[in-house]
Amino acid sequence: MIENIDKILSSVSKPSWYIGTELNSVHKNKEDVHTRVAYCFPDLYDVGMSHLGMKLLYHMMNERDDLWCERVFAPNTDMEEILRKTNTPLFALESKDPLRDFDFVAFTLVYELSYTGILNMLDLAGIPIYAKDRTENDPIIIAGGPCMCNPEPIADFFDVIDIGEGEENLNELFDLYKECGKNKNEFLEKAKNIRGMYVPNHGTKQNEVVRAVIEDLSSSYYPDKLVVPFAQVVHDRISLEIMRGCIRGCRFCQAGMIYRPYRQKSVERLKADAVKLCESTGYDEISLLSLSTSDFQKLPELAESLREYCIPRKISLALPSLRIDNFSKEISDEISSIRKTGLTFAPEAGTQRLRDVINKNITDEDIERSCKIAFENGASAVKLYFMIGLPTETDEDIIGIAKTAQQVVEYFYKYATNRSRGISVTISCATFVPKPHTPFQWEAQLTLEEINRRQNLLKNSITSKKVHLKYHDADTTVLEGVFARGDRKIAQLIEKAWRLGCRLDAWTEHFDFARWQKAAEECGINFYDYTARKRSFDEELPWNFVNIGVSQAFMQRECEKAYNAETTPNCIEKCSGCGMNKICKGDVCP
Amino acid sequence: MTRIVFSKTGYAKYISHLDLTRCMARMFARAEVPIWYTEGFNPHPYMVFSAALPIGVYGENELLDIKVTEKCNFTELLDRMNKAAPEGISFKEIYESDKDFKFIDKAIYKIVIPENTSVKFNEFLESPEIPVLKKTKKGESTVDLKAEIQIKEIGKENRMTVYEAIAPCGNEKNISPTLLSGAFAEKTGDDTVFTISRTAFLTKNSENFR
Repeated sequence: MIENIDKILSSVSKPSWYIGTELNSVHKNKEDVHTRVAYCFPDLYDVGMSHLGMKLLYHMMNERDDLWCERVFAPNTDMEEILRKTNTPLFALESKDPLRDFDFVAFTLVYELSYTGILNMLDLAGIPIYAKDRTENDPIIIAGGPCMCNPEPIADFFDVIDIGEGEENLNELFDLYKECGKNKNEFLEKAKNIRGMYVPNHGTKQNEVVRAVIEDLSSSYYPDKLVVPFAQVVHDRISLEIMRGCIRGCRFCQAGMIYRPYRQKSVERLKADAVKLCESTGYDEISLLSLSTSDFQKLPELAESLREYCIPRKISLALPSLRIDNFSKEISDEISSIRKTGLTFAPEAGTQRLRDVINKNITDEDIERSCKIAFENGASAVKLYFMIGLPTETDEDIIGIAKTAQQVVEYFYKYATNRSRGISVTISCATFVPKPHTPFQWEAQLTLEEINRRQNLLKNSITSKKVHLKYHDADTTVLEGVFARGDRKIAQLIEKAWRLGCRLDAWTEHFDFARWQKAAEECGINFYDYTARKRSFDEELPWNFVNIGVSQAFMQRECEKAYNAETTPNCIEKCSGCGMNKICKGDVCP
Repeated sequence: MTRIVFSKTGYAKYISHLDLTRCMARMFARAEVPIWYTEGFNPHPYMVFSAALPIGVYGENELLDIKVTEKCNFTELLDRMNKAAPEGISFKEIYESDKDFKFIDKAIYKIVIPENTSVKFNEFLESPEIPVLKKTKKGESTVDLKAEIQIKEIGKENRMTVYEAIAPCGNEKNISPTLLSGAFAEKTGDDTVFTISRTAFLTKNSENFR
């Protein structure tokens, strides 16, 4: 255990982020376990503690008697300052032991802008950041999470990268570690044989890494308790994952591709999990989690079953990620009967043509019908998500975003039962970033100049005071694009930027694009080579060796259909042969 | 009112008052306490705390009032609550009380510091006045801790010196003894962490309030 913990905790602004004694946190005797894992999230506590994947794997790992998994989050700037000033190594929350004492230091990587956090945390722990500089005595540094469908930008920092679903293959990795008697060389060589495990810096490079996939979600691990933070965090509630994967196949959406196949949990299992989680946490809110809640085929049955439990206990139920094409009266009733939640829709594009290009199969009629239901039920605020810079986009499509929002305002006056509260429509506009393993992985991303021009065009197209516009920072979008489709050369860029002081880049108050530009200059890297360049279909992409399940042939076919504004039916209507079933043993598709 | 006496020790001393409120609400849900909810648009469990405990200060006999909607066996309830409590929070007693928290005027604190620091600290306490700048929501004001806090050495244990301090702790005036350690560190450069616990509440007439 590190010294002076009281002095350190007394001098930071949020001490409860570092105390590690939250309800349901797992404390074991370190003498009783074979393997110790320091599970890191390279961003602040309140973000990390909101992430379901980390909670799930934390409890799953701790189910093992031979292993103790503890949590570590990126320290806030005041904590970093005192750790460095007092020469105190970064410690794990539960035992307060330095990370160097652990067998594994594991990172969950959820968004690209957290990459500098990896280096900062390793450095604060006194662990060399590059795999090649570490010895047999250093912990084994591993990573997982959705960003790892293109691991190359950060591959130089890691010993093992887990591609796919950790519930499926992590136990095998820890079994192997035990078998190898903590012999790192032997362990790394043999880890290559575990499905989904990529060993980037040891021996010969693997030709192909096949993503690990859970085939039956209803019988897979789900925690019956969650760590309940003392401090308020971003998502401070029970997340109940109802399904994984998405039937839709929106062409820009990485999650829609890399979490295939579409797997639903049984209503019985979900109800049982919800009850156990409520009893063990005392939370007063459950949020159903999936990529598209309304595609859960038994949603009315599930909502009814949960409502029966929740209402007498004053627990509210949130249904995020609703689609507007099947947003039914029943669903709307479920929402308003428990507690009113905000209404959020994602048309993504402003014209029917462009929605067809991206395969977002919703129509103007769908929007009208959903607005009608929502406004008749008393909604008075609507948030609409759009993107600019989608392939084939023209100025007409951008003006269409403003028109769509204006149309929603008009639907309010047409359908609302109570008009006195007025209507507020917020357009939240992101810039499209082409992502690996999607049909648009070959596409060019907008340059900064073009982002600004199109954002201004949108701003000037809005005429109503009832429509508000928010957009994502253009600079961060460029950087996301670089990391998303980056190669091994990006590691030195991340290192350079971190050495120049880049930290917590996902936070606007910390993000400093000028430093990133300086780092790029020093490394001889041009951002636009990664973002603004359109690739040909036969180019060897850095992530081609990752077999995510969805085939290159399918993605190329989808991309060509996009150019003709041809849509593809969803997985339930008709199978489009994405290839997912080839990496599964059973019959997993709907 | 149903009054609960609890302690807040160990790392729980770092939980802020606002976070403690949420933590208690969840504990009541887990322990299935039939707690009364406020009425209105957004009902929440009704809870009133005797006084917020400053971050970093232990509490030995903190008070929390709730209302229950049905008759309860307090022994059994106490047991359920302790089973549902997070590390560092421990429930000691439950009883009915109609004594309003507004009669709390002062609190007793126990302060423990290493002996070698206490020599300097005793000198510091001899200063004719100890002015500190107190920041509140309303603005800044200067208070003289020498006049406001009565402090005396009450003994030694394990090379530590133990003090007892009585400080204002009410709606009108609330002065945290953490201001003392802060002022001491500022004046002497000795930033030893003071172990401070609030042990009891007093009325205006210095009678024990419970």
